[in-house]
Amino acid sequence: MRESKILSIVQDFEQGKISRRELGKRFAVLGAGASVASLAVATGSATLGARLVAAQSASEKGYLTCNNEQQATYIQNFNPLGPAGGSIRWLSQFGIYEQLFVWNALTNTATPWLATSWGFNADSSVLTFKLREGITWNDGEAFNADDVVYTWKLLQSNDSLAGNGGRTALQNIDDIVKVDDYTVQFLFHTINTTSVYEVGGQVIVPEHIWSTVDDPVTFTNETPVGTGAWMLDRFEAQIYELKANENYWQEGRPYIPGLRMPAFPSNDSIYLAWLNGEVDWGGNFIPDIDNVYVAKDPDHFGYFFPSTGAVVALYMNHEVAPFDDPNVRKAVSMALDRDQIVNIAMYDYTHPADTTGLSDAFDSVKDEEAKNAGWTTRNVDEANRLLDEAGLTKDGDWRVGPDGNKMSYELNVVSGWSDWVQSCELMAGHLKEVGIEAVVTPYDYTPWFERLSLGNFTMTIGWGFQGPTQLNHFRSLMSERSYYPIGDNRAGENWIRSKDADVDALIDQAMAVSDTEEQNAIFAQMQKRFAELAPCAPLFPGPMWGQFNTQRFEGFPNKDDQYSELSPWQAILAIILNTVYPAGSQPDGWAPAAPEGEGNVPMEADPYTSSATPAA
Amino acid sequence: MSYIIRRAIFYLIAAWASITLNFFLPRMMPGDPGSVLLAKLRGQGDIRPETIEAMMKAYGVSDDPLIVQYFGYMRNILRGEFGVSTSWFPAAVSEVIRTGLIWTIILMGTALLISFGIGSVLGVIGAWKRGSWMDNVTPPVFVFLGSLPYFWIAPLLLFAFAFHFNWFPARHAYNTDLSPNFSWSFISSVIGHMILPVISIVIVSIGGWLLGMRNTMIAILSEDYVTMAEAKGLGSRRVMFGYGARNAMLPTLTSFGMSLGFILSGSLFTEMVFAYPGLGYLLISSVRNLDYPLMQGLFMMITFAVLIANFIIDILYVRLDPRIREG
Repeated sequence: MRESKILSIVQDFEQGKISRRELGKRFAVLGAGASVASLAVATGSATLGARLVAAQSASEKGYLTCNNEQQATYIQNFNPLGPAGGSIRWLSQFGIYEQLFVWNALTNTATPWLATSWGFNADSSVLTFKLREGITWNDGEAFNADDVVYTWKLLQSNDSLAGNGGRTALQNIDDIVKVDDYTVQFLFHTINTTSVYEVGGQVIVPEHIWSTVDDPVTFTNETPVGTGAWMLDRFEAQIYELKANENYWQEGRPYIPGLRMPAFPSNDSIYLAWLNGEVDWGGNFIPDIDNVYVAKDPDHFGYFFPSTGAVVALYMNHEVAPFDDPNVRKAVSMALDRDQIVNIAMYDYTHPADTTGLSDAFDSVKDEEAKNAGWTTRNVDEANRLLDEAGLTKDGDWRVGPDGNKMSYELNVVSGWSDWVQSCELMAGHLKEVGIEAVVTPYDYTPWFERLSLGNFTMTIGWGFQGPTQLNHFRSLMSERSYYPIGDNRAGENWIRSKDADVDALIDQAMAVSDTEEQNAIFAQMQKRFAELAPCAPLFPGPMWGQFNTQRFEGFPNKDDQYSELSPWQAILAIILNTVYPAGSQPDGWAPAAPEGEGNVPMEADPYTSSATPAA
Repeated sequence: MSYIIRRAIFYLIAAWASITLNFFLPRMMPGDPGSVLLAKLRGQGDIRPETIEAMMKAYGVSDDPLIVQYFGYMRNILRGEFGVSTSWFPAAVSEVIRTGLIWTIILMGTALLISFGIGSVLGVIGAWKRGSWMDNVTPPVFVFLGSLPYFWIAPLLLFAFAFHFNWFPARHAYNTDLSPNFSWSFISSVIGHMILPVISIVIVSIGGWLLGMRNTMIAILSEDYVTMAEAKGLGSRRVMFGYGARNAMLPTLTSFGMSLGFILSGSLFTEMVFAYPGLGYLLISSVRNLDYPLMQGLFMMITFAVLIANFIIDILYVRLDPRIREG
């Protein structure tokens, strides 16, 4: 019994969802005592010097050590299009294979990459991409429009290839056409200008290699041929290394000779490596990071946690009374003490969310009125007033629900995701103050998600939905487009079964315009609707984890040079890895990687192809 | 001989039963691979039913009636095919298992041999010299060590000897700058990386072997034939090992056989703490991801290893225990 308990704790910990502190606590409950990191914290850095020597000799080739996969062993698979849920090595996407442009959420810009410019025609039915000339695959073949068209046709004809985002855009795309060697057009049958981010974000594979592959779904692509800065150097079950592509199209870059990815099966093992100074870059949740990590070597150890991740929220099922009433949802939201939640469950790594439900990534485009609607600020009196007004009067300590029973609901959470579990426990306390009983009920991940998608829940904590634009947020939480009735498990996003005709009309408008300013004005309208209807109770924007160690390499994004987020799991890794340089040898005129290009500009659809466009 | 044939038939039936259980048990777990897939696909926009279908097909998840699946499964087992792992797609189960198998065998095998060897010898000596200082000290010490929780002692060892004193490597099966080959530098690296994990396992498992051996040995030593041997004036070593230990060995040998088989299940905690590649991690991740093919492949391997090890022990019994030969 005890062993299975320990096992589940270790599992949780491994998923990075349970904090060190929590781990210590749980083990203490089991009578186990201290764990590695707390011991490490307790001792000084007396032996740090000795360890650094050891660490330095561990990377003789001058490779940068980083990791974003928690694995005990690796399987050699570099297929960047492989089906979801499979096991693709990190850096296949964005490192070895590249995108047309790289979306940078922190700066809200699309950096031209394989493409120099792109844009829609006047009626937004044709999206044109102009490709960069002079790029070669790492086997010497030239990169051109054929490769782009081939990649998309491959996705189109293989339903189980996930790609990375491209599949979503394909739903609106009729055909992909090569105009000339460096121009590709995407012909839309359903107008959706936000598809540009999915199209631009799709990594491109070489036609001359993939056209000889029997089955792209099961293809493991052991010696990947990409356009990226990295090529396979060595592959073993417990480590793999990539070396710099000497003929990389961004001249002079990358500045570092290679990358090594040792396998770390648990957070425990990677923490030790961080403290030992063996890892150069990564994105792990480290509790109390200033004391645990930075204090070990303040000159070199650092982190950068911008609050630009999707907003974590308390969700209420709109098809369960009384949560169909916006005022009840607002009252629930107002009962919550977000400062306390952020402080205790999140180590103050982030801050309370506002009434747009959007993260800091959209700060510059938030509507003043919408974000100051007030119902994410704690106000117990107002919450009580709203609940009374909704007819949910108190009988003793607890309120009585519309069904005549005490207002008592399960508050679902994923078992072991300690920050969430802790947030839920705090929220249960807050809700008690307004007479609502929330019983924190942990489920394993899969059953938890199953309940959400089936709509078989009343209250749950959950992640938010984000993308390069605000569309995902509103589409997932307020739109008929993502709505499925209770019992239909396709509701992978709109768990709360919420829809609003106004928002749907606005989404139609937003998807039809390609001018960013114009689009943001429409999104501001949606924000107002969100503030009015409070489809959920946003808690806090998710911090984007990222740590660095400048003993051997410098040039990482940080608090003083915020050229991008520091997290290793997104496309911006292409920018980061092409920007860092060996410590102490900053290249002349060093600047973050930013290949030239005009970016997003209106494009005329070529008469030849536009005449081929079928009427939408 | 008829004894061995009887045992062989028994093991064949046991093998069939476990193969069958191995098929049905995972399918009785809550959740189904389809919803796991859906959960994994979250945030990838609208998932069309045909996409899910295509993926299920690629993963080899079938909707056939269980009995049809069962016969297909039996057919594949006989061919030694376990299919494609869904959580490591598109890698075959055998390929996934291969990444950890050798390291698990080396690590767990060494640890088992060492703790069995040392524990048994200490038990024999302790029982022989009952009341001596050694008999008074070793059993309590090792039983105490054995009762320490592994997840506490292993990180402690790691912290003290790999982190604080920096005497041993903190992770992996060999230095990551080397590639597997038969050079001395590689082999010594493997040994160096093995010391700490092996010690951690030996410390907690040695007490059991010691106590088991000591207790049966004490019972055996009071048997008449031992007194007889002593009365005949045989040397104490001969009596101790030839008369005492040989007979005391039999029950211990059975548990040794079991442990030998279970080597293949790896040790999740050792692998986690020392970041050692192995099967324990695969086992747990296959369960978590509802990766039926991988689960079945691993369980099947463990089952067969246990059965085969026991069969070998049974044969050894014949050699060690004349009573069986005649009976």
